[in-house]
Amino acid sequence: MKINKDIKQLFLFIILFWSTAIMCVQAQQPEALGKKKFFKNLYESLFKYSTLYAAGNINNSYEAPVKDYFVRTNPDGGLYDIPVVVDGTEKNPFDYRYSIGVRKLARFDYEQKGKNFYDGTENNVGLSSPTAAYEGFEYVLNWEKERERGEEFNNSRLFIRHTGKNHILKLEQRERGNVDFKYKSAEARFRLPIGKMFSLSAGAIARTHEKAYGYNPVEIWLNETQVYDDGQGNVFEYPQNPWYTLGFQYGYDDHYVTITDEETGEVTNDWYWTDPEGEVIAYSDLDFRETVFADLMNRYNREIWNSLDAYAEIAPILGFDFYYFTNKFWVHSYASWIMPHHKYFKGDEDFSYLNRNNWGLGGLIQDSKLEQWDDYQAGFIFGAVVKKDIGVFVEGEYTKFWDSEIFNVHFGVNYILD
Amino acid sequence: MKIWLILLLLTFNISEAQIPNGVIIVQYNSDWNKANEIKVKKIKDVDILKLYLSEHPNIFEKNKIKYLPTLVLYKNKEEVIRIESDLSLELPENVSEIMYDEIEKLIKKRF
Repeated sequence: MKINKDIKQLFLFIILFWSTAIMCVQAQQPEALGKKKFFKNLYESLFKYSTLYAAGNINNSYEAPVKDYFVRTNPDGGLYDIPVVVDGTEKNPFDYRYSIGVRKLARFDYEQKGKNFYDGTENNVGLSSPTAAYEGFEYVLNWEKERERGEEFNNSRLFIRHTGKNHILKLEQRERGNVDFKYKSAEARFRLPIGKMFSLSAGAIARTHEKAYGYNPVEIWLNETQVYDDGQGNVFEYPQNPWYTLGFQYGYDDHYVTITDEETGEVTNDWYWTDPEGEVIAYSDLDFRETVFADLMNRYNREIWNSLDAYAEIAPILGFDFYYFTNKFWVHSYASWIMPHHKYFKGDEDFSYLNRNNWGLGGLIQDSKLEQWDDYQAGFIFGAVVKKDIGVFVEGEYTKFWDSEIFNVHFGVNYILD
Repeated sequence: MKIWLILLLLTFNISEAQIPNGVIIVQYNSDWNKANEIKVKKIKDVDILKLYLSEHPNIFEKNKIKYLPTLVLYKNKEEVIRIESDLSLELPENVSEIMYDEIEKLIKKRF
């Protein structure tokens, strides 16, 4: 079923790609064109300067620097005979990654190709900055499969942009299997160039997110309460879902046990826990809570999150680009501000990011107000060749989308010795 | 805010050179030889500039223009190719093709 969904999305993406391309070529050439010229223009708009690639890499997987050992009861003896020492170090098959793709994305003057060939691992500034290094069609369509520490993932990046003097149209879809990240966006902006170095842009962006950011199901479940009034003016509030009942939900069971210390005669009571197969997995409630329970909380959250539909919202966006380049000095800075006027058009609004701070004891707080937010993406690149043999650079990018915040900054100085 | 202003000022001060940034075709010529000028077709992302000796003698001298007309392709102020006229004061017939080929190469390098 999932494959069908992916194929449908890919099909839709290709249709959008072609129809946008044809519209743009027609808009560029409004006069009646011969078929031959139309197809020539279509080819030049779409495929000229593009690169088709298929690439892969294989390397050995991570190996623990220190080996892990454990002991097993000697098959010819009992628990107190000399045990068998077993090497339990985790060994994974080799890692690999292979990708196929096609790309047509211009690099800014300060960006070096870096490698002789494209292999799908490139991350150009043009993918984040509002304005491109080239007016016209650009795209990166990359699909890859990878195995990392024995686990297999699918990754993809489908990016299409058309930049004109006064417009920016962009479609993007990303999937990173190893971090369970899925994201789609479509944006349309009006662009106002001010001189050759600066441009402003404004429009709207529609984005999807799979995760219910800000919604923590297990915390809400644990915080649900019941109130008991004994009729004599005493009101008691107690948890509706005591923490240990989550274990029962997943087939775990507790068993009452009394332990008597034979030396001191001290008697303690506790509960030991068994898994759904009846194997003992914790010797006390505390032991259970500190080991198995943490996994159950995450499992519960995953199940609830997965049961929710993906979200889609639309919001206004503002941006700017400043670009100046000479061979000895360059500055490129850009930013996009997704304004706090988000409107969800897909997904359950109760669990949306607008309600991220509205959950408390007893669930969603009644009459709580939806809370808007700002999202940003900004970058700054600066490089200068101070003298023939000294260069300095600063490069950084900051992205804040919903709950996630990503930033990276590189800076340095180079001095070449004669 | 201050940092932005300083950066902008710095940027504009640096950009006062005579040949602009970007990809640009400059046709150097003189008023008396306008008949031998060629018409350079407009190309996307490429600026086209005509300079006459009587108006910009310093630029001619700085760029060591010896023959008129001369066509020079610059990328970010650096000369990429120079095509000079011959004794008949005319540029070669295939000058446009040579220029476009060089521009194609420059654009292709960016992808």
